[in-house]
Amino acid sequence: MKRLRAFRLTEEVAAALVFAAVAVLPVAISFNPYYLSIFISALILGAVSIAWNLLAGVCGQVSFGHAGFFGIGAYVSAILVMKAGWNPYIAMGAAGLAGVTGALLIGIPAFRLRGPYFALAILGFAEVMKLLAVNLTGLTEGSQGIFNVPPLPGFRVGGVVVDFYVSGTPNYYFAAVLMLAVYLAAYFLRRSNTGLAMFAVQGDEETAAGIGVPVLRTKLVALTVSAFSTALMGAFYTHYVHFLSPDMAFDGYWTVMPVVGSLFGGMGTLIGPGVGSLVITGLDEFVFKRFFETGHKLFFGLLLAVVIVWAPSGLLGRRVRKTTHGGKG
Amino acid sequence: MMRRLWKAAITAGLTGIWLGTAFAAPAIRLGAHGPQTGSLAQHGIEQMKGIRLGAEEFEKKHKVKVELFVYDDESSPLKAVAAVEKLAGVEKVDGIVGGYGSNLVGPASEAAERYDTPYLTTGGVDTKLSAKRFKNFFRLNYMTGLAAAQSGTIRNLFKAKTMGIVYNSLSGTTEIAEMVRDELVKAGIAVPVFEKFEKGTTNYKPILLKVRDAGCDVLLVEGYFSDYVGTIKDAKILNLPVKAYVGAWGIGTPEFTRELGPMGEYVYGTSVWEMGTAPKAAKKEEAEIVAAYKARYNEEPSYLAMLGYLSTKYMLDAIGKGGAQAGSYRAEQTRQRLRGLDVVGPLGRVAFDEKGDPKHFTAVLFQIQQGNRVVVYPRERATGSVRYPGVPWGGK
Repeated sequence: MKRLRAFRLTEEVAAALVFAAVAVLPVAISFNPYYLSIFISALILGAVSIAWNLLAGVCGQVSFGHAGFFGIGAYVSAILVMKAGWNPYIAMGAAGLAGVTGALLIGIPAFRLRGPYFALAILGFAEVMKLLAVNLTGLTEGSQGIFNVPPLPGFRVGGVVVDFYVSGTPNYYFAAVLMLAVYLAAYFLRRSNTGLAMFAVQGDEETAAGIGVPVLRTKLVALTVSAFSTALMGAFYTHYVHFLSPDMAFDGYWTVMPVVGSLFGGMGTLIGPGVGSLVITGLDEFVFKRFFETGHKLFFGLLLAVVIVWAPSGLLGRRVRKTTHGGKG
Repeated sequence: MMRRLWKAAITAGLTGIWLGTAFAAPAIRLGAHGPQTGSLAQHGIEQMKGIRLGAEEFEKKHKVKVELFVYDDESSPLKAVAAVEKLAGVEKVDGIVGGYGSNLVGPASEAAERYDTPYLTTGGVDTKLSAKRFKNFFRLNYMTGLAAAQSGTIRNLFKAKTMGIVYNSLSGTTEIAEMVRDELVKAGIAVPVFEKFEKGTTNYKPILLKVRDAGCDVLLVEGYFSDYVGTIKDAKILNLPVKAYVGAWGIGTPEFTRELGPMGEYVYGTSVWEMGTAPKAAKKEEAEIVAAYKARYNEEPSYLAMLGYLSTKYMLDAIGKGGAQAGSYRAEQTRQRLRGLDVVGPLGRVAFDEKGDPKHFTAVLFQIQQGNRVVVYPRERATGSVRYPGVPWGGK
């Protein structure tokens, strides 16, 4: 029993298990389109949570403005595809870069602020982005939103046609690949020298600066990678839902839920936020909602409170060893 | 004698076959989605009450079992897609009703089209929703009807010369504001003030001052509950010199009356249906629905509940009349029945055009008079006469 309690996985093994489970999940649920659609939204949230955690959990910079990056990505991709005729895959890449631009615009001035002031500044940034989307009607169709955003183009793999419009399965695997890509970006960044610098910044900024860590640059790297990933998921979201409006693209959901997913899964790990997002989405949809049609969100809040009080390091916090510079635990 | 016996036997036999067929009709699987939680929950819960009652009444009346599958889309577009995936993809429903908000109805109707499942909504009024001409998309209410009620009242009843339009920047309110402005300008009415405000605005005085300075006859506020409360209170502070205050949806609700009390007097609101506004041919049906609703929920139905009820009735009628083949109902038959629908009900004449939009949809404008909602426009649906000029704070 003692050995079981002491049992801890490495980050790599935990991530491999999670992504293996994600890969076989559609088979386990017999490719049920409803379950798939729920897990697609969970994977989108999972990827955004991993991206958020890179900034907050690894670098110590709490953001309340990730909805801003999510919305930028969604709008840039939709506009490039619908107004400029871009290929959606290329537009998604451009959407990620637009997220980086937004991150630099807010990051350079806001990182001069510390503690809650950065969080507040980035919250204001998200609100400004939303107002721009509402008011730049020539480009964004304003508050009425953009209808009929095309799905990702299909392709052939051998004899199999991958159609993103007709079936949920390609969307599911595409979302899973994006979450894996976001995870790998966070993983390799954390193992790099910059990752070590992030740890130092998270611990104590002044001490980090004192030993020669470029604090501003380190924070900006964390923010831009996080923003790129979040904007990329926003772009995927719009091609999946086929509709976009300022209210949904910059919805507070994309600011709050990554925090919740990270707290639930464990901020000390990289894969924890992804797992947290998958679990909370699944629990809410398949357990709470089944029993409490209109009050299910209440249980969700209670569950989160229980986790924060009794397991502050989250689901995986005590079961996964942190990987730091060079992969040494 | 033998002849009579034969006749009786044949009649009994045929009746038995008819009854047997009626009871043996396969159960109709009806899907319904709407926001039961989240920011739009208040509207979705009302709508769902009507849908549930509609399904129960149909079951009682037609002796056909209705299996109703309800899904809470949580006011989220992602969940609206999941709703249709579940209802059409897993539960294999014969038709879907519900949906509230164009941003939810858009993705949901697209998913319904993929599953080739008829989709009749009452909560998506954006004109772009039907632009794709989905063969499964139908809706009972439409933005143009709502805008026509407002512009018609201002043009024909008030005979206003100048208008101030202020509107919430959200999708529905922006679209209706632009539509009404265009219709009024076309009719030669000046709109010197056309101002947008953001959701969450609490101080409306700066834009109301523009309305005052422009000398507008009528103030039209395209907004939501909190916007009406805010603009009416600020108009009172400014003693805004207008002859009428017109609002969009959400005026005259119990919440509105609680918050404003006598300050809501003379205010005009826009609605799809109000008690007593059914055309003559549908008065009986209206009364029956209202009575059944009161018996079931112990309250009067709102227009959202009425829309929910009627959409369910029309959809179930179409599925049932389309008939079952090999134990299941066919989407094509249901669509044909919906396309061929042409009835007069509590909402007026209901028929769909080739895009699924309601061809004859009209909304009503009511005025709050001594706490009651008195319908004043259009004249054929009016339940009383207008008190114009009149605003709760004095005005012109």
